[in-house]
Amino acid sequence: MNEQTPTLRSKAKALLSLHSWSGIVLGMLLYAVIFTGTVAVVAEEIGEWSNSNYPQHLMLSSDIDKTVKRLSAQTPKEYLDEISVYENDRQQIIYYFHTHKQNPSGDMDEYGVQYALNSQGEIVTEKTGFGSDLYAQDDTYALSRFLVSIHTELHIPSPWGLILTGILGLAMLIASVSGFMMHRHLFSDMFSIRKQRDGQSLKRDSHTVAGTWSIPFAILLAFTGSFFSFSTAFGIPAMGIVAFGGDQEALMYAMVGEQQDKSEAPMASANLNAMVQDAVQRQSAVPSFLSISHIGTESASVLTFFMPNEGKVGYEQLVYDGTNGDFVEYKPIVGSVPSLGSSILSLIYPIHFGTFAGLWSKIIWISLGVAACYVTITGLQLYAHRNQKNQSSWQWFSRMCVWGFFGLPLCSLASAVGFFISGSMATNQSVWTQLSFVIPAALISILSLSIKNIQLLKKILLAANGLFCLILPMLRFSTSGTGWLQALQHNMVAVMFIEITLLICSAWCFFALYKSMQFDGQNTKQTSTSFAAQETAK
Amino acid sequence: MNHLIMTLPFIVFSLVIVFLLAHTDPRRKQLSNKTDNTTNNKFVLSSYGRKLLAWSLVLPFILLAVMANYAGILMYAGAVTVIGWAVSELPISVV
Repeated sequence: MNEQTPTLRSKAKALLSLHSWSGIVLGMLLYAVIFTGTVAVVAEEIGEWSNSNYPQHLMLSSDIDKTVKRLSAQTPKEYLDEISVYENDRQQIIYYFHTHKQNPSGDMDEYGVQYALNSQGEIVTEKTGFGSDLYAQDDTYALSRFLVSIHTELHIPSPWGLILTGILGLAMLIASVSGFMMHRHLFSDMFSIRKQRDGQSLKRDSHTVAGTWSIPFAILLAFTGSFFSFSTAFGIPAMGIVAFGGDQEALMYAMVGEQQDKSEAPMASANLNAMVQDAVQRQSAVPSFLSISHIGTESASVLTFFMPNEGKVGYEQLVYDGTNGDFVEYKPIVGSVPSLGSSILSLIYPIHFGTFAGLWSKIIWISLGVAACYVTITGLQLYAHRNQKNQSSWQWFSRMCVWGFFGLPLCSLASAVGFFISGSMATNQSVWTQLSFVIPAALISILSLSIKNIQLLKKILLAANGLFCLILPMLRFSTSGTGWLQALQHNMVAVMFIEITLLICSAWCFFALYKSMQFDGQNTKQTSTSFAAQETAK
Repeated sequence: MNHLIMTLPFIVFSLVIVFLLAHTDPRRKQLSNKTDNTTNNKFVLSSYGRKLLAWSLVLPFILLAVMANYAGILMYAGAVTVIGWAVSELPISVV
C-alpha cells in the first residue's frame, strides 16, 4: 500500500496537470465554441425569429409540379441536372436549378440559377452562382449563419478553422476524461457544494459537481464535434485521394450513392405533388427539402428529406422513381446500401445539435450547453483565483475571463441588433451582422484594458448584456411589426421561444447585477464596521 | 409528438428520484449541519435504499428502448444530467 501511494499520487498529479493545461491553454476558445454551440442548437429558431417568420408549409400548399415545369422552361438546360426545393425563413419557396462543378477554391460545388417564389408563386428574386456563394450572400440567414460559423470554424479560413475547432473538441475530450479519472469521490461528491465564508459557492465544488453531471454528454458532444471538424477538413479529402485518386466527382457520387453516368433519354416525369404527398403520409411530417434529379429523362428521381420523427434519432430520405412516381426506398445517408457507417453518420448531426425531437430536445441540449459553459467558466475562474492569490501579475487572467465570459454573449447580441437595424435600413445584412460583432468586440477590449477594477468591468458588461437582451424583442417588433399576439395567432413558436429566452436571460443578468451590488454593499459595511472597531480599540 | 409526451413522465420521475437522492445525501447533510443546525434530518435513507433509488434511474432506459423511443432515451439521459446538476446547485435550505 505504502509503495503504491506515491505512484498513485504522481498519477493523480499527472492527470491534474493534463486536465488543467488542456483547459487553460484552449479554455477561452473552448468557451467560445461551447457558447456559440449552445446558440447553434437553436440556429433554425434564430433564423425564423430574426425574420419574424411564420412557417406556411409552402411545400404542401404550393403546386411544386406546375412551378418546376414553368421554371424548367425558362432555365438553361445545363442546370436541369438537379433541382433543390426548400422553404426559407421569409415565407418563400426556393428552387435551385443546378449542375455540379468545381468552384474557384477547387472544391466540388453546385452551380446554377436560384429562384425565390412567394406564396402566390411569383418570382421574387433570381440569382445565378455557386451554391456556397449564394448561401453566404443570402441575408435571410445572415444572423444564424454568422453565429453557427463561429461555432464550426471560429470564422477562420478553411481548413484551419475546422482544424482548430477539431483540436478544441479533443481538448474538451481530454479534459472530460482526465477529470473523470482523477476524481476519487465522483459519486459521493455529486450533490455537495461547499460554501465560502461570504456565502458564495466554492468554485472548486461548483466546477466538480457541474463537470461530474455533464461528463457523459461532454464526451459525446466533444467526440461528435471533433468528428465533424476533422471529417470535413481531413477525412473526406483524404478518402477522395486514397480511394478515388483525387477524383472529387467520383467520390461525391459514391457517397451520395448514385450512378455517375445516367441515361439522359427524354421521358415524361410523374406528378411531383403526388410523390410529396405520399412521402408526407409515410412520415407524418413535412419534408425539409426535395432534391429532384434528371427531370424529364428516363433516369428521373425525387428524394424527399425528413428531420428525425416519431421517436427516431436519424434522418430519413425517401426516394421515388421520377418517371412513374413509385416509391423506391428509404435511402441511406451515405452509399447505396444500408450500412453501419451510414447509420452512425445519420445519428451524429442530430446528437451533436439536439435536433432529433424538435424544440423539446433542443431545450435539453441548450441546458447541457449551459452546463458545459459553466464548467469551462468555473474551471478558468478557479485557476485565475488560485494564481491571483499568490501572484498579482495573474490579474490579467481574471480580466481576460471577464472579457471573454461576458464579452462574447454581448457581441453576439450586438450582431443581432446590427442585423435588425441594417434590415430596416435596407443595407447589406450579411456585412452589418459581422461588423456589429467586430465593433463591440473592439470596444469591449478597450474597456477591459482601461477599467482597472475588474468587478466594475464585470458589472458594466453584465448590465449591457441584460439591456441588449431586453432591447432585442422590442427591436424585432419595431422592425417587423409582428407582436406577441400575432405570433401566438400564427403559431410562431420559434419567435415566442427566442424572446422568452431573451427575457429570462435579461432578468438573470439584472438579478446577478443586483446580487453583486448587494454583496459589495455588505463588504463595504463590514470593512467600515471593523475599521470603526479598530479605531475605538485604539 | 406522442413519443415526446411518453418521455415526459420519465423525466418527472427522474426529477423526483434525483431530488430524493440529494435530500438524503450524507455528504450534503454533513455540510448542511456545519452551517445550519436547524436543517431537517428526519428523512433518512439507508445506503442500500439510496443505491436502489439510483439504479431506478436506469429503468426508464429499458422501458423507452422497449417502446423503440430512441429519441426519448437521449432526451431522458440529457434531462437526468441537467436535473442532477440543477438540483445539486440548489441551496441546502431548499433540498
